[in-house]
Amino acid sequence: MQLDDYKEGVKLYNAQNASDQFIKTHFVIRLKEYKKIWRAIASTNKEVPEQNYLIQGVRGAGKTTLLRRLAIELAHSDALNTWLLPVTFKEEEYGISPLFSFWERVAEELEEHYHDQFAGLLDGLDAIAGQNPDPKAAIQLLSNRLKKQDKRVVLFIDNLVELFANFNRKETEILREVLITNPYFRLIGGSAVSLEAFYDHQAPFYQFFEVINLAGLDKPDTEALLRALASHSGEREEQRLLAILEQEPQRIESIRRLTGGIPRTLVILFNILMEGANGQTYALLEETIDRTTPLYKHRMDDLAPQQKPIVNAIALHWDAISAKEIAEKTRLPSKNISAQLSQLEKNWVIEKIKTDGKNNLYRIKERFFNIWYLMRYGRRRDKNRVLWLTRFMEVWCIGDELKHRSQSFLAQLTGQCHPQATLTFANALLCSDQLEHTDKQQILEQTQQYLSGAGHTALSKELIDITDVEGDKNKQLLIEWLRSDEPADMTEVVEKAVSALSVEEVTLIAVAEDEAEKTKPNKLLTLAEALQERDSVNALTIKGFIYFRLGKDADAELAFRQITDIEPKNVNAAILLTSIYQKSAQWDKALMALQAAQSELESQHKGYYHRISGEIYLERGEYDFSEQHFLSAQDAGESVLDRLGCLNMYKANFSQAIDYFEQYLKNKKYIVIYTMLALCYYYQADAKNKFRALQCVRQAMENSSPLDFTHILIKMLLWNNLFQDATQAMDTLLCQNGGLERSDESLLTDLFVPFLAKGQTNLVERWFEQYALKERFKPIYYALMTLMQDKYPNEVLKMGDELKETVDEVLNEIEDWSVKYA
Amino acid sequence: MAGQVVRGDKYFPRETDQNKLLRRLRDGSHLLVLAPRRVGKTSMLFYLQDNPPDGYVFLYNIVQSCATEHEYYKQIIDNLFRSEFTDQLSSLFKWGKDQIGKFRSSITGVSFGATGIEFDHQDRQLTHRDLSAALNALTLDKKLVLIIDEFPDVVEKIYAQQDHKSAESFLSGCRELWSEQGLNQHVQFVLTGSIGLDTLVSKMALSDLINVLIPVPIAPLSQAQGREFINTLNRRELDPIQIDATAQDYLLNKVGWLMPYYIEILWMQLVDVYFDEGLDSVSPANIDVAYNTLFSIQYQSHFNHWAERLNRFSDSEKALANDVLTAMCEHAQLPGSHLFNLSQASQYQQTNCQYVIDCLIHDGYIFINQAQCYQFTSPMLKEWWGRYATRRL
Repeated sequence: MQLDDYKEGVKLYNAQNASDQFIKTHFVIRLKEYKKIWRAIASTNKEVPEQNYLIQGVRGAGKTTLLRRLAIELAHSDALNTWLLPVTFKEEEYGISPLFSFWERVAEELEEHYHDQFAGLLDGLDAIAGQNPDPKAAIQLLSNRLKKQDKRVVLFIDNLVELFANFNRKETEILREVLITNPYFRLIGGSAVSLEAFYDHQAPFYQFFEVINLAGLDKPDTEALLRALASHSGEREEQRLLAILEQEPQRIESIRRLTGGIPRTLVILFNILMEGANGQTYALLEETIDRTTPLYKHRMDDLAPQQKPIVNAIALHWDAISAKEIAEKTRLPSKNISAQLSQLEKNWVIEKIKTDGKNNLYRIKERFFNIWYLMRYGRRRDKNRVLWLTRFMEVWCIGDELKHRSQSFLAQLTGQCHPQATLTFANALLCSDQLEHTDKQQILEQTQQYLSGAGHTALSKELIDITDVEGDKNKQLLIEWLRSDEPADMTEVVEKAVSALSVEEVTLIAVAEDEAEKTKPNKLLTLAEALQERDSVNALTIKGFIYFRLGKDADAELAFRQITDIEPKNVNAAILLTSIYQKSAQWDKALMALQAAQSELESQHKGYYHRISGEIYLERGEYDFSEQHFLSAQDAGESVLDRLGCLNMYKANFSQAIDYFEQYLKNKKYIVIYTMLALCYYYQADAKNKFRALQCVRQAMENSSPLDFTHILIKMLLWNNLFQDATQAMDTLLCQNGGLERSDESLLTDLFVPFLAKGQTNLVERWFEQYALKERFKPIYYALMTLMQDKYPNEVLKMGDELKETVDEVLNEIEDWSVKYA
Repeated sequence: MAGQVVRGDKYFPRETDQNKLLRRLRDGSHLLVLAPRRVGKTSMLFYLQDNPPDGYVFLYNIVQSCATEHEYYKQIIDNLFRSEFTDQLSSLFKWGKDQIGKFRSSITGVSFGATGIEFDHQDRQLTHRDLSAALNALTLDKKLVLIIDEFPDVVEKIYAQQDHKSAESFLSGCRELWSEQGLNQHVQFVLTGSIGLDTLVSKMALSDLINVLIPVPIAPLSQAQGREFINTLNRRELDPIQIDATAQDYLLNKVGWLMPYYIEILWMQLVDVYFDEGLDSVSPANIDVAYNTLFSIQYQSHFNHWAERLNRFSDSEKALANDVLTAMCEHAQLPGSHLFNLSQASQYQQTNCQYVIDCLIHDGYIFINQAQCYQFTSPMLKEWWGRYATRRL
């Protein structure tokens, strides 16, 4: 079936060239928008400037057709066409600049279409053009003529924003003046890029247009469009569509999602809907996608230069991707990426997927555009060359349909098939993650057989190189068994697979599966048992890892100890044992375990060895040794800036600690380090760093539960004299469920002191009353009463002598704080 | 109508402000109408031009594209000589061709042709004296009110593109014109613009040059006017929607600062929600949906200019303005001590904080409430600012 059979008469790219009658008859969507603008046109008051409109939407959204439809209606309206003249600019009127030329184009159109009334207009403009033509003079001339003829003009201009982008600031200011004061011209524009893409809002005609956004079609409109297409295509198509609507309505939704509801893509995909996608029609699909090239190529051309690599990264990734990942892939600064992503979202190119966390994900909004992109720009090697088809099939097929399609594809291999099509389709299926390995195995084998049998041995060699999987069939079997819900006992097949694999391969799989936590521990233990005889060290390694992950440190210790009995310098055992002892704060044992494999570790993992040594000495309070090791680790390329920071912090060497932490944060953003840094600044108490200290805590709190660092935050806020914020944070802390219980008394005391140091006596008093804190925080309470003695002269007298000393200490603390953090 | 300046029967009368302005005019003052964008000042001035009170003729001029003194006066004189205005003279005052011809030749070295005024010599520069000559040739038995829209833009451009001296000279010329005894008897000026002329000239230390201008603020609608405005909007719909007084009040409370533009943008969303969801009445929840849509990415352009207008500040002024506004997002209102506290941050030591705060007030971002605290003029702006503004800066 040829694509053209369906789209006869439907102008994919040139709505402007379709006949008036055709446009009128087939205008079935965007009716709401049409009615709205038409109503505005129909009620034009010829004495005053009227509202201008800008129809925005991606290419293919129906802007040109809507503009055409409006222009036709105006031209055919007997009530209006005697005095209100439609003037349509061609879709691609690029390069009209300066503003004077724009008015020349208007004059040209008027003279061409309404010659009897506007003859000589262009000559008039020519006469005033000169070297620096004055657009205001041109406007004056045109307005005089329109006034004389008692006519008004509606300018229908596609790609209006791109056109206006050619005008300089002064010209746009003049345009705004015209649009405000001149009743002779009204603009109805279309644009595939938003006005904001070109203009900031200082631009003089900011918001001067009422913007009509043409979003993707909703379900009813999609159905209306498809019905119109089917009826236009013929009886067979109409019946087929009716059948789909009745029996497989989800397929309509599927096509809508795939196209983002963009009418032009819907039209292009219409034939796929009629045919369905299978091995036989893949060539049709390829052709279909190819048909979208002008549409999508333009969409790419519309992008600003810095947006292209971003869209490229998102499209090639297919699945939603974070801004951070985009930054990595494009090597562009994150700040630029965020700004561009926001712009791309506004221009409907991408969509944002909100996540629970702060980092949103982004993907190409129109999935079919993404498929096209993969086809056109996807890397042409390996499986990437058919990824577009894979993605199409995955989106297109509902439920188990992909599996069924793969089976019917295999069934068709018994007959006559186009060899290239067979190859591509098979490869696409082989790439899908939605098919089981065994299914893919079958596809691979049968396609290979078919192609070879049909004499296309060369083609059969182009089947996706899944030898990783083919060669690793045993690995796959093992992994599948490990991940399955089958009993922990090995089947014969699995046993065979395990024996065929090397001990190292099995160990690697086991450790990887263990780390990924995809496998039940008892299966890994069974696997370890199976290896015991072949290689007890590897078997014990697997066991040790499992116990360690399960938190069974005693069992893990036993397993690793057994290894060190056999191989005293076993590196895995040394690392894991050290880790186990570090966890239980057995620093001497940890050091011994580590040093047992010192020479091996120093030669193989020098940085690691010194880092861990540094950590252990740090815990033992042996700061000099610790520092030596950390510096050696640093020399070996290990990242230990954070540890060096902590070490110096423990030594109360805050300036040095700050240096290390700041350096660390240049490359990594780690919330704990932000907090440490904040505390260093705080302890250092240098007023010039108080804001930085606050910034650090805020940074730390961006991705963590607010309560965790709230107490630190409050101090920093107060240090910064941000009373409202500090108060709010304290309120949150106090009223949050369990806030009071979770915070121990010394912690809260630690917070009341700075509030009082900043003179917030009324506030602390309120909290004491609101949360009945008097009995719990007696020293603070009496310190507060001492500070508020003028108001409550007798309250302090109630204080017992035993409290006096403590209260004095609190008062001293308050005084110290107020001086230190003034 | 949200977007274009509203004319004719689409204009929603703002009698209180109109009357206030007319009272000041009758006092014989030249006026300075200060209001941020989108509060409807241009529509109101057009209304006065189209419906002048007895004894007045209005002529609206927009001068935003003018970057020099010459361009400024050319724009106004062009408008005075254009047939739209002279036709009015003919019909109102029975002026004949001779009189119009005489009027158009009142400026030496200048004639009037099909494309506007033309000069005998290329280097002829127009000044306030030329405008004075033209205006003095207009002996009408009504007062002419010249509305000059976006006037502060011209001052700002001359200052930025030329220098302080040129701006001073331009304003001095204007002042001379405003103070010309004979002229004042039959011509008055109403200057307006969306950036605060007073704060601008104050920064340029030229405030004394505009002190003859009497400021006229534009107030938001009252609740009752707000309801009437909603009813007016509804009557304009092809299919009016069912919305009772409770829902109307709810909508108005959402808008908070009852400027017609903000009511209308929410109204437009509500009408979409109404028809999209096939409603037969409007509930607060429907209004909430419409309200939230306003903050979706497609509609942010309604507000973005608030952030981008801060770009005319210097970097540190902008940062302070943003700090003030962002801090205000977190609170219903802020005491002056808090703003003072912010302004004392080390990075703002060299910043003219009072100027920033004044601009934010004059440009319609914030106001001082009865409790002597600062708060956002519009809850919608506040909401938007809290959500998006920082990333627009």
